[in-house]
Formats: sequence, C-alpha cells, structure tokens
Amino acid sequence: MKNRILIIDDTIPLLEEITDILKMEEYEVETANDAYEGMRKVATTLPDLIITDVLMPEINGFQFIEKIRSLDKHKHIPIIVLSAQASKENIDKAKEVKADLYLKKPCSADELIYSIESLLNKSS
Amino acid sequence: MISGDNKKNIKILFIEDSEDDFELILNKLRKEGYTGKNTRVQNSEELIEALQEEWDLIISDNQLPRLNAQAALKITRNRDLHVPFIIVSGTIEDGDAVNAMREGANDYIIKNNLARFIPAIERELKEAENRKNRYKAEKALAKRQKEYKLLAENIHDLVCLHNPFGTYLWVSPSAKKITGYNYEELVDSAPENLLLSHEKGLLEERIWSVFREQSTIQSIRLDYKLRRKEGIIIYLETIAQPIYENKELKQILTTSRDITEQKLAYDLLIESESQYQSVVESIAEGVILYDEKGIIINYNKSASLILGLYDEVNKFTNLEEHFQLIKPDRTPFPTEQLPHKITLKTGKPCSNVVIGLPKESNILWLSFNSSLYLQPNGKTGVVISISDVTKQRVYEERVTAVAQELTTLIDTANAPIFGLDWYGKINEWNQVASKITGYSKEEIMGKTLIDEFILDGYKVAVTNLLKSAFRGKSVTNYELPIYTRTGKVVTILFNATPRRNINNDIIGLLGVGQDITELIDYRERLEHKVAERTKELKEALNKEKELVALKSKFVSMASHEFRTPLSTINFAANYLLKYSEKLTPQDSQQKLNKVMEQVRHMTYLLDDVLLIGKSEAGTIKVNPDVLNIQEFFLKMKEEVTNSTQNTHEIVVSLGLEKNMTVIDEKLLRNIVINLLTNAVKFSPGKKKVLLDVIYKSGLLTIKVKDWGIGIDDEDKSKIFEAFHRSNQAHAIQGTGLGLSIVKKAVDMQNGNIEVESELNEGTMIKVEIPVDEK
Repeated sequence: MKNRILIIDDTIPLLEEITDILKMEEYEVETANDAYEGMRKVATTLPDLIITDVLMPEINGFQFIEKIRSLDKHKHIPIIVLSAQASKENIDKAKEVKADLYLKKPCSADELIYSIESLLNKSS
Repeated sequence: MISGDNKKNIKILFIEDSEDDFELILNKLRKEGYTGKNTRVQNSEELIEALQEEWDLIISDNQLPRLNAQAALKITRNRDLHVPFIIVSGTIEDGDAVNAMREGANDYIIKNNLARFIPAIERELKEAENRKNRYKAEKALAKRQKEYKLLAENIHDLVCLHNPFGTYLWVSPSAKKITGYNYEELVDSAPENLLLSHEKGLLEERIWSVFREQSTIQSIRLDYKLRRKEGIIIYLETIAQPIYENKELKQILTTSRDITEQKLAYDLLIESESQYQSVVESIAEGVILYDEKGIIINYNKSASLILGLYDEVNKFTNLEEHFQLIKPDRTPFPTEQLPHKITLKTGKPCSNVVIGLPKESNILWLSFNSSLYLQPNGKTGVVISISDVTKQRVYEERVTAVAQELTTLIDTANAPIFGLDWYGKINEWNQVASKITGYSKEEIMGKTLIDEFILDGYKVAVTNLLKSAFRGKSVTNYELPIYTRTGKVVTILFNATPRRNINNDIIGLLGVGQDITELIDYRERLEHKVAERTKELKEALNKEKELVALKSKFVSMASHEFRTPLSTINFAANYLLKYSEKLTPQDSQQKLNKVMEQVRHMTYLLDDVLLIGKSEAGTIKVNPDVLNIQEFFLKMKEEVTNSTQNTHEIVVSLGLEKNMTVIDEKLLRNIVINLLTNAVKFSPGKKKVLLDVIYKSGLLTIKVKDWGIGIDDEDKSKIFEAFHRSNQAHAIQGTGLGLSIVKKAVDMQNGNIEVESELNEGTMIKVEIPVDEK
C-alpha cells in the first residue's frame, strides 16, 4: 500500500517539482496552495505525512501544525517543515509546535526522500 | 673906625648939665687936636637916643640933676660894652670912684685935675680899640668854633683827632652811628681795638707810623674793615691828615666813611660780572652779539664750537655769508627772516627758530633765540643764543614719522577707531568709523559719543563702561548697537582702552570697534546652515540606519525569495539526475523549461533589487521617448494577467486625449507592473482589479484599484520604503520592493503618488506624471 503525502506550499512551481519527485518514489501525493486547503486535504485524504511551508497567506505553517496537533484524529501525523528561513527562532518555533523535522530550502531530493522514509518507518 | 690919620677925629658924647664944664672940656680936647662930632645929653632919655649911634668916647659928669654917672654907665653898658666911659666930676668921693670903676667905668677924673684927662683919654681910646679888636676876634672864633662843632656834629662821616700814635683824642658824634661806640668809649682808646683780629696793626703800619716818620706825606687814604660794637663788620674808607705845630707832628685828623654798601655792591658787581662771564663762556649754548647794524661783534666759546668759527672772529661779521642756511623743509632760509634781523627790525624777540647749517654731508640743525640788549654805547644790539638741536631734530623727525605712521595706521586701519577725551567728547575718528557711521571726522569731532550714537536702551550701560575705562579698566568685546547718520542701527563689537599721556595719567580712551552687523547676519545664517546641515546629517544618518535595516531586510528577503526558486531549481535538477533512465526526452525538456523559468524569475528579482540600488545611488537617468500609451497599457494587462496565473481580471479603462506621448517606457513599465501585480497579489480570492488611465493636458494619471487586504494607517507612511512589507503582507510572498520602485520611478519623473486604503476594504493608488509633450 502506497503512503500518501500532503504537500502545502503557496509556490506552485515548487509544489510541482516535489510532486514529480515523490511520484517517482511511488508515493501518493496531495497538494495544497495554502493552509486552509491543507486542512481540508488532511481531513479528506488522511495523509500519512505532511510537508508544509512556513510563509503562506493568512495562516502560516506553524499555525497550521498547531491546529493539526490539536486534533486527536490527526495529531500523530508526522510533519516536515520545509522553509526558506532557517533562523533559530523558526527552528525553535517548529519544535514548540511539535513539528517532526525541519528542512531548509534548498534541500536535495535525496535528503527529502530519506527524511520521509525514516519518519514513515518510525510511525509504522 | 679909628685908624691911622683919623686917630683924633673921634665922636664924643657928653653927659653934662653944666654948659661951662662942657665948654671947658671940649676946649681942652680941641686944644689937644681932637676933632669930630660931639653931642651933649643931660638926661637918660637923651642918652638912650644918643646911644643909637656909635660913639668913640663917652664923658660923663658925676652928678646931673636927673641922672647920675652910675645910672648913665648902666644904660651905656647895656648898649655898648666897649665904648670908653670916663667920669669927670667936681667933687667925688673915693667910694664913688671905686664903685664907678666896678660898674665898668674906665676912668674917674676930677675937674680940677684935667692934666690927667688927655692921657687918660688917649689910653682909654687905645684900650677900647684893643678890647674891641679882641672882642671881634673872640666873637669870630666863637662863631667858627660853633660852625665847626655843628659841622662835626652833623656830618655823617666820622671825624676823629688822634695823637701821633693813633689814640682817639676827639671823635665826632657820628662815631656812635658808624661804630656803635660813643665819645666816652672811644676817647683815649686805640682805633686798632676796632679792627678785625687778623688786621690789628694795620692803622699803625699804614697811617700812624707813616706820618711819624715821613713829614712830607700830606694825606693817606685807606680802606679797611671794622667791627662795630655789636659785632657787625663794616667797611670804612679813611682819609688821614697830619696836623703839625711848629713843624712837629701834634695830631692826626681822620675822616672816615662807611662804604659797606658801596663795597658790597661793588663786590657783588664784580662777582656777578665774573659769574656772568664764566656762565656765558661755559654754557653749551652759543651766544652771539650783534651790533645795531646787525654785524657780529662778539660770541662765546660755544658759539665758535657749534659754528666752527674758532678764533676767526674778525672774519665773521655775519653768518649768512659763510653758510647756506636752510629751513626745516630744506628750502633756503631767507636772509631777511634771520632772527637777529627780525629782532632788530621789530624790536621783538624770536624764539626757537630752527635753521639748518649744511656741514659736509650732514646738516647741523640749530635753534636760534634772539632778543634786544643795550650796548655799552647806548645803542640796542641783538643777542642770539644758539643751541645744537640736530639730535633732537633727528629724534623729532623720527618721532614725527612714527606719530605720522601711527596716525595713518589709526586713520586707515580696517576697523572703526575713535578717541574720547575726559568729557566723553570725540577727539579721534578714523576713516572706517566715518564709513560705518556716515559722519565725517570734521563734523563729529568734539561731539559727545553717548548723545550722538548710542541707542536709548544702551546709554546707561555705555556710560558705565566708559567710566570704568576712564578708571583704567579695559572694555572688551562689548556688542554695541549704534545709530548711523541715516538712522540705521549697526552693531559694533566694542573694545575700549584707557589712553594715557607720557606720565601714565589717563587722558581719555581709545575705542576700537568691529562692524559685526554682517557678522551677526553671517552668524545667523551660519546657525541656520548648521541647523540645516544637522537636519541633513540626521537624515543621512537615518538613511544610513535605513540602509542598514534595508540590508538586513534584503538578507531576510533573499533567504526566502531566492531560496524558494533555488529549491525549485534544485529539485528539478535532482529529478533529472535521479530519474534520467525513466524519463522521456519530453519529460526532461519540460523540467529544463521549468528550471529556466525559475532562473528568469530570479533575474527579475535581481533586476528589481539592482533598480532600487541604482535609484538609491542616483545613477538612473530618465530617458523619455515616443510611446504609444494605448498599446503599452494593453500589453501590461496581458503580461500581468499571465504572470499572476489569471487569478484576477484586470479591468482597463483608458481616457486618452491622444495615444502618442513622450515618456520613459522602462520607468512607466516598472510603475504599472508593480501596481498591478501588487493589486492582484494583495487581493487574494478577489476577481477584479481596476486600471484607470487618463491622459489629458500633459498629465498622465494612472489609478489602480483592488478590493484586497488594504493597508493600515501605521503602514501607509512606510509602504514606499524598500523591503518594507506591511503587517498584512507578511504572509504573501514578495520582495518588498514593488512600491518602493514605483515611488522612485514617479519621483524621477517629477510625478506624484497618492494612496487611499482601508484595511480589508481595498487599496487605490493614484500616480500622476507630468509629460513634456514637445
């Protein structure tokens, strides 16, 4: 059974690239342009793992994670933060909202794939 | 009266009552040859009357009826002491005769014994003559003695009789006056006692012994000093004469005179004469005597030294022939103006006439003084005194030059300088002072500084300042507004120092000012400038701060805005590498296209950043060119619609007076793209954006309106700053450069930008750009 991964990012070209790579790695991929859409996709598609950007219109990535972690049904979903900003504040914030991993843009495809695999193995 | 031949012609008065007796006696006398007048009286009245005449003989009867011989004798002797009085009597007692003789009768004869009568008469007549002569001689002697006494007592000279050894035998009363000693004190004493101790013996040596030894000497004159009784010393001039008796020196007569005053006056004269001589000879001043014709008759040693005349007195009868005399201004000295000539002509003295005497290479400067004097011949001459003032003259010239320099210095100094006397009156006023105040030196001298120039509000303060300057305290840098002639007020920076004379007494003050009106203006301008600069500096500092902030903003922007496309590129590249075996050429091509698109995106981003950088550095130039604005705006609509993935419909409304204009296309593009992109970007979820363009009367007006998130008031002032992102925009990607680029582009074209926005309602931005249509 294929794992389903939800990617949330307001930069469409990036979404497309990540989608292409994950599909090559035999993952089912769902995407969202903003956090609202991301929430809806979590509820409707029940992803096994979520990759989210931080800087997005209206609701940012951290607020989104807090929301997920507050829902009993979804709080266990591993979440990777993929952010252009790698300041200590942001990393601390990610820990605070209980993100599982913090990846800094630009990261390599291998790095992303390895991170996803290790998180999925851990949770299964 | 009775002389030689007339011996018997005698006047006889008979006192006889008896005619017979009278005739008898008369006959007897006639017989004896006695002739002459005779008168007979019988009483005292007749006798008294007869005695008015002078008689040679009186013959009286002894007893007359009314007169007796005794009474007659008494009457007679009262009148005439010497006439022989013979009594002839008939009867006579011896007692009567004795009494009559006692009374002064000369003889007593009895009538009947007339034989004795004639011899008696003869004897008595002779006796009477003798008596008469003796009496006369005695009387003359007495008279002379009296005269001598008077003379001796009244002459001022001292007359003395000395014995041959000098001892005073007699001294005149003037002795008391001259010597202080009286007669009693002097007589029998020696005159030597009165001499000064060291001169004692002088009289013996010079007078007494001379007379004793040489009988031919008639008189000796001697001056000597004598000490008066009270000790005062006087000079005496004594003339001594010997008195001989039978060729034997009996006495010596001296007459002495007090010559102290003459002596002293003479001594004084001698002394002053010699002093005068030595003064004239020894003074440094040259003295020249001119006679009444203006010819030199004498001069002193100094004159010859000064003039170099030496002993050639005879050759120099005037100066002007031997010297080229010049005036202080070096022009020839007119002969007729020489001091001695002026004084001779006018009778008035000349003083301090400076005359130059060229001598070799130098000029000898002499000061001449002239005045009249009385020559011994009774005519007026001129005495000239000359002093060498060459050194003074040179010094004076130097001092004058220095004073002139100082005066010029003060007068031409580039600062107002004025002097005040003790009463605050102006006595110095230089050119700059005239220039500043408008008052010339001539009209201001003697006026009072305070009254003329000082503003009312400063009068008391300035009066006090001047007072303290007069007390010796300098006034420095006092800012003093004064009136000029035109009533304008000029501010002077005033310094005053006391002015002192050679004795260091304060005689006034010297004020030095500086016109600081311009300085004050300058100061004010400077202050203004400093304020401006400070402001500019602050702005620069703020800009610097902003720049620092800009940089950090850029860094954070770059980390996001560049990392995201870089991530995209990286993933695409990884994809191509990792799955190349599985990919069709189309897949690969598609990926590479995406990479190129991201590179393009990043290039735009960099261009924006560079544009801002350039515009900040001021290196962008406006390059207006002909542009069809209708086509331009439609193209912009297309471009933005595509780049924003058709999320919004851009509604364009064009109100163009004409399509063609002259404008910088690049700048206009930056404005329009950014405004439209922002409008789309910041109104997510909305459908429309409005672009309204009006071109009219050389003004291009562009309005872009959206119904997006809006801008709060806090951000409105900052939205044009580079890298600033509004509170609402944080969640929306962007460089923060858009509006900043718009603003720069508008400013460069002298345009205007306005923002109307309401939070969550939308934003309308209006841009106006003036277009030069020529």
